[in-house]
Amino acid sequence: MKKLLTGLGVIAFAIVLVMLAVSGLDYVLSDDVKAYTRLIMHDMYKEDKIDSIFLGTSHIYRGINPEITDEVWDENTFDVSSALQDIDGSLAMLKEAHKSADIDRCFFEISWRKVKTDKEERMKETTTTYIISDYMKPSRDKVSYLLDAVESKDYVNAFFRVRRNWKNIYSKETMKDIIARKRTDEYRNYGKTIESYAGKGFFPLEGKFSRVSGTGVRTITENYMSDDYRMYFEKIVDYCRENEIELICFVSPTPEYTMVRTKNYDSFVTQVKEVCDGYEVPFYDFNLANPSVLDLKDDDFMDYNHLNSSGADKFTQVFAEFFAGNITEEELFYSSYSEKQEHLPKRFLGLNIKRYSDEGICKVKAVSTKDESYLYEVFYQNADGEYELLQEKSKNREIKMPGSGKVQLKVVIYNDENQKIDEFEKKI
Amino acid sequence: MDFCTLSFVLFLVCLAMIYYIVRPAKRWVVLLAGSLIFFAVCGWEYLIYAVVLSLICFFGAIFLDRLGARQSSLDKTKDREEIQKLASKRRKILILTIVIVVGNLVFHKYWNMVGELFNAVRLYLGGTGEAGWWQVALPLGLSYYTFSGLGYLLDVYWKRYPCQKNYIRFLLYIVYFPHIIQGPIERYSLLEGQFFEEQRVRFDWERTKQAILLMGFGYFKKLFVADRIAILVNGVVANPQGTPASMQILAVLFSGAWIYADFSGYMDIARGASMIFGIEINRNFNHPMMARSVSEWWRRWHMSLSSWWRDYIYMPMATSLKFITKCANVKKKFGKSAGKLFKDAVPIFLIWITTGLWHGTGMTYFAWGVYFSILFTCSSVFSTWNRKMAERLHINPESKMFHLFQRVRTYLLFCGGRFLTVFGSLAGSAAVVRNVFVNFDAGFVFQGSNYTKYGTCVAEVWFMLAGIAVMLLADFIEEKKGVAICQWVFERRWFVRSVIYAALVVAIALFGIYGVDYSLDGFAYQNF
Repeated sequence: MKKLLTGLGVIAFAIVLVMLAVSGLDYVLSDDVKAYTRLIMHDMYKEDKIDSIFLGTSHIYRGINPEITDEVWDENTFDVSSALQDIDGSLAMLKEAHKSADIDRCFFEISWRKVKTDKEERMKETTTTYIISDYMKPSRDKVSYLLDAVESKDYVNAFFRVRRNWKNIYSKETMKDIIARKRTDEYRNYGKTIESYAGKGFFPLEGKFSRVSGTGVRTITENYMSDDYRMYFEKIVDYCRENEIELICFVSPTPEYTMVRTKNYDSFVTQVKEVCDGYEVPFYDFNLANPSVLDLKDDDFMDYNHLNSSGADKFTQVFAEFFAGNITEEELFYSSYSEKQEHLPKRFLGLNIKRYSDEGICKVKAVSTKDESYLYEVFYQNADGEYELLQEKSKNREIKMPGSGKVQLKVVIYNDENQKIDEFEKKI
Repeated sequence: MDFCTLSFVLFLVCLAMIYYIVRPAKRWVVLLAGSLIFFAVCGWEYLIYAVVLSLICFFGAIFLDRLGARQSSLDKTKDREEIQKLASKRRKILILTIVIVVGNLVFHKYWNMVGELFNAVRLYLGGTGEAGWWQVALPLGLSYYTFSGLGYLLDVYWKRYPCQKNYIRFLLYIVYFPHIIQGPIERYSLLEGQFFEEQRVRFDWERTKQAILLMGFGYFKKLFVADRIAILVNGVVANPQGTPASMQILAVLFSGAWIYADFSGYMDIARGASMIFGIEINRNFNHPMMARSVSEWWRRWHMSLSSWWRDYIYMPMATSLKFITKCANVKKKFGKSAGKLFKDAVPIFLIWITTGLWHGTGMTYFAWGVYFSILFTCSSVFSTWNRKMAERLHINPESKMFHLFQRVRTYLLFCGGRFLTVFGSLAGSAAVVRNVFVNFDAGFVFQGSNYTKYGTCVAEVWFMLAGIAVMLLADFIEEKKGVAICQWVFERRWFVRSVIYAALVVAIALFGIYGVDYSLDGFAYQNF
């Protein structure tokens, strides 16, 4: 008996030592001073009661201002979103929020990018999982989330953050820097380690969309929603029903620039609506919003995907008013995006420019609400910093690049009547 | 199924649980089922190979045993002719079985090389394009179970023990999962008793504890030491351009420790896994780093292969009447020294060149065999001269410093063999020799930033050295105290034990080379 007790004691003490070593090393090696979710989760766990949560990707923590919803609804609301949040992450966040703050209503963002993610893809995107799991309190839910969210080869990385950061041990300077930043009052007291943090999970940004990007055309195919997404969606619905949480699905607005570069968008809306209807869950797509009610300009976005602070305020106000019943569905939404497009005025939106290094070319395309032809005059910056003509005004959209390295290009766009419309500069 | 995966650990835990739930008499069936599953997970086709080979060995042994029994029942004076007939028949069956079994091994090991030669000749004669040559893959563990099967056949032939009459039981010996990937090459007589002896296979907590700790040491050697060194060595080998000879030599020196940590790490895991089921397999390594001569090194290194070679090739050859007569003839014709040289050198060359060719095809391994043959022959021929030299120089052969010198010398000589193989070709090794005169650059290895080119860094080199030091310390303790390292740990105070366990877990789990960021391929010896 004594032998057994000693043996158990040795193992218990070894476990304590391992835990101490892991915690100590994690403190020295893992740099999470700038982690968004560290602040979000900490603030969420602090709340005793949250009435409504907003669940989803970065569109949410950039785009929904809980201060406005609090005021309009007279509730306590909270953004529990995270960058590229997968649907299993949303379920995990929902559970955490409900366990800690007994939520009544969940607004769940259906992201076009995440809807098509299948299981294999989802499990490969480990960072999106870790930014949630690293700050979840230890529980059975956390274990089951991680076991399901990552492949078995990633288990150690998933459960021990220090394993992902152990290479920081190579550099004394890095370790010193991490320790110094962690010893600040801001870090220790979960203060403003991230400048833009406005509290309640909201991180507004001031930037403006440059109206130039290199994104490809997004095409909505049939059966766009993956089986994996559908399965987790059902789990979210079931969880909400079991816990009497009202579930509302929505799509947050993206700039017109991005919308017109999406083929067959109405199919996405139809497919998601069908699924939601199947579970009797309301679904609203704010990309179908009538500009007379929700007037989001290019300057209300920080990039081709996210709202900036002024856009967030505009959107949240309409969002809050709509769910408060102050705006009707008929007033706010078109029935489809094609219907909305018909009503949109003719407008130039920006430039799409993408380099194809293998072919030594770059492709340019003017983006506008209506399909129109444009002329492109292209310059590149030489070694002296001066612009040299690469292509005279022409309809040609495939530009031969002057070299293999990065080049600063200037593209001037003219309409058919030879009038200059706009010009853009981009290093590509 | 790689030993260094979570799935293997789970497999082991599940198998052990089922093993100890089943009644002792039938536990070997669980082991067989587990081994077949292990094999099948690695690849069904591999399992088919193993089953076919085991059938050949099993039935070959049955025939040999029956004929042997008939032979023994006859009267040596009256039935002399019949006995000779039976002996000849037995010999023919043995040769036929050996030809099939060894032929299969030779075919799998050398067929691709023949293809390369064929293609080279074709191109030399003016052919163009790629020649269609059927490529064959080496089935998992083929070398190891071929040698196990051959050993069993020869033992039955020499009537060392009767053959196994139950094929299913024999199959367990061939496919037993802890020794299938890279040995040790076990003798049937050693395992038979353990597999089927009810008393041995009872659960024993002390033994299980020891097994887990032994596996822990194995994982430490493999994941902390071996795979860490492998990155540096592979990086240096893959980047010969602009790499100075000093770095290449450092890589060779590290490669000796790498192969030791890799192979002995595997052995510790395999022994630990087997020990969980109450079955002890050969340790295969007896602290080779403590060896003071090359011959001692090889007595301590891959012991199951060395002893197999000694028992089934060297001894039968060295003690055969034909060879003794030949030696006598040489002695008569060329004198005593030549006779001794012939007696020592011929079996050594034969053994080492075949060992080299067993390790791999091509000239590198042939040269490796020749290198060790020369070393062995020299140490045998010059042993007296060496002793006299030490006396003249007033060196105390028992002094600690001299022992240390001998150990370092032995390790360097072993690395000489690594030098011939690690660069992939003799041309690669020759280029390094050329580099010594053209671009040695001793300072290169002391500049930390240079290591990034090889996928590693200075901090990693310190990790390597620390890992090697721990390995050497464990070897030293075992050698000096004469107790297994696990036993030594168990005899420490509770606090020390806890620290050792915690350090092992942290070293392996947090600082081990595994997981998504690395793409190292299994164990080095599994390719043989």
